[in-house]
Amino acid sequence: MTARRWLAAAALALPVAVLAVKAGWHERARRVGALVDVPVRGYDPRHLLAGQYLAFRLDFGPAGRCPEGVRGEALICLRPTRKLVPGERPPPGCALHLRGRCRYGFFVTGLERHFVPERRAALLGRLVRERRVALRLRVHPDGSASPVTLLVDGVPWKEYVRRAEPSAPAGRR
Amino acid sequence: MQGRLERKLARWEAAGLIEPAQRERILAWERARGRSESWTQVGVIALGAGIAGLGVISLVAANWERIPDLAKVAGSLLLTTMIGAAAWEAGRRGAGRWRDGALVLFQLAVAADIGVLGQVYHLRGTLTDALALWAVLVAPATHLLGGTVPRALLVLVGLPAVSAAAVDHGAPAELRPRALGALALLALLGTAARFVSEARPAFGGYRWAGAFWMAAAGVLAVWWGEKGLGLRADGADAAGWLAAAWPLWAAGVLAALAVATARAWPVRARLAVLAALAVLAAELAFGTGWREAATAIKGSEGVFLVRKFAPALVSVAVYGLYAAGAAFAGRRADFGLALALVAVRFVGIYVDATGNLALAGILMVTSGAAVLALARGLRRRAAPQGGAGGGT
Repeated sequence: MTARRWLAAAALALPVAVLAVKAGWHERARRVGALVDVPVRGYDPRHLLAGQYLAFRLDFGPAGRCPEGVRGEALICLRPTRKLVPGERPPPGCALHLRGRCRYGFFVTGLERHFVPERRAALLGRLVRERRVALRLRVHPDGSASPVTLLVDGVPWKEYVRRAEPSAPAGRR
Repeated sequence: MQGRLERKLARWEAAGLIEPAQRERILAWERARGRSESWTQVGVIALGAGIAGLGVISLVAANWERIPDLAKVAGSLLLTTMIGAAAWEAGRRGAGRWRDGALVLFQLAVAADIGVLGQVYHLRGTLTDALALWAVLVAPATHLLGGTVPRALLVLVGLPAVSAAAVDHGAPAELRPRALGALALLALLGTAARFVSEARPAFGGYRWAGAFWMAAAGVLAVWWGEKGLGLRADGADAAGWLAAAWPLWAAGVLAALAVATARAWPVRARLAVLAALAVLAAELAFGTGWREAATAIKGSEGVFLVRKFAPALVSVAVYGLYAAGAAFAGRRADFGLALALVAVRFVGIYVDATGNLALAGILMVTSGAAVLALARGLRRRAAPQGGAGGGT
């Protein structure tokens, strides 16, 4: 009975432990790596908001366009020069790369969705349409990346909102 | 609790500290005291605590944007740990209902944790993946500790989610590690499904549950308004709507007949549930008309209050009457469920009334405290007036 009791305690601790490790891993991932700011574009003005997520496309410029016929795994070499490379292996001399896929002619990374509070969603959606928003990423040596925050005119969006609405009460919806 | 006391008294008797007669008198007194703390009072206490708890959640939600990310994650995991500890302690004491309640809360808290992590770290992934992860994480604790309700929740939510996730990730064709984990969980879920299928309630239980779910479906229809459930073909034609909604009315009449003829239940229990069904039927038949008339009388300023409040108050009345019926009939689980629904409905009422989560939170905490004070007063009135009540 005692063994079963300890087993039950371990079973109850399991979700907390797993999620704590997962949180620690993600927390570390967004603190280490190279900082890269990528402008974002709303590819369809009607579908910028998916629930409480802002949906957009990362704008890598001409490098973000996949050549005709290229599909599946791809990467963008970010430094020293921006260049799209099909496949999973970065070319020699590429100091920093970001993994993704070519879909419908565009390079997508899976980072094209960002949670925003409901009451800020409309404002951020408008700012994306005005092309004033960028996504700040931490890019890791293996080509993976973690989103850090959205930037509006170069400042984190929370700071931008604070400056724009200094007297807005927090609880209003 | 009673079991612990019995064991303790047996030890004292074995040590020669008390006589067998004294042991019996102590036990009789404790049993009388336990009976006086009726479960309806416990239910009212839970209602007060539930409303106050929802108020605290609203306050946190109102300030969610201001809370640092790490604090959100840490606070969420800490809350889950505390609920898990409560479930473990309830399981250790052999308190089945409390253990199951805490375990369901634990399951919900783990789901909330996954949501918080996804939100804070902007994780990509599907709802199916999140639910599959939830099922994998809570399955061991549910299997080891849970009764029917937590196991049923795991089966009902986890089985489809894990199956869909397994299909999404290519099992069994590719047999990736994630899919293998999902397949291993299917075995656990199968065990839980077998357990649930073995818990066969008596036929009378279905009759009671049928009346309740019919009421719940009706309240949903009210909640969603005239376009709800697609029952109303033409918003202006109430008669046409009544005709279109005939299955709902047929279900209502059958439920009323079932309740009226349930001779095993006390008359007042049947009356309370019939009253719940009558309020629901009145709302379905005349609610929109009443609200339109009230709006015409009160003018445009009254529109918000009448339209927003009336359905919520009606649903609280229906659930409240149902809870009363369940209390009179001695059905603890139904009583608790109906009270929980009342508590949840309070959130909608306050948020609609204030349009402000923070203010709604403060109002709910205040209301919860008022209900707790009421429960305390009831408990004092019902408490035994001292002395050894058990007799010898």
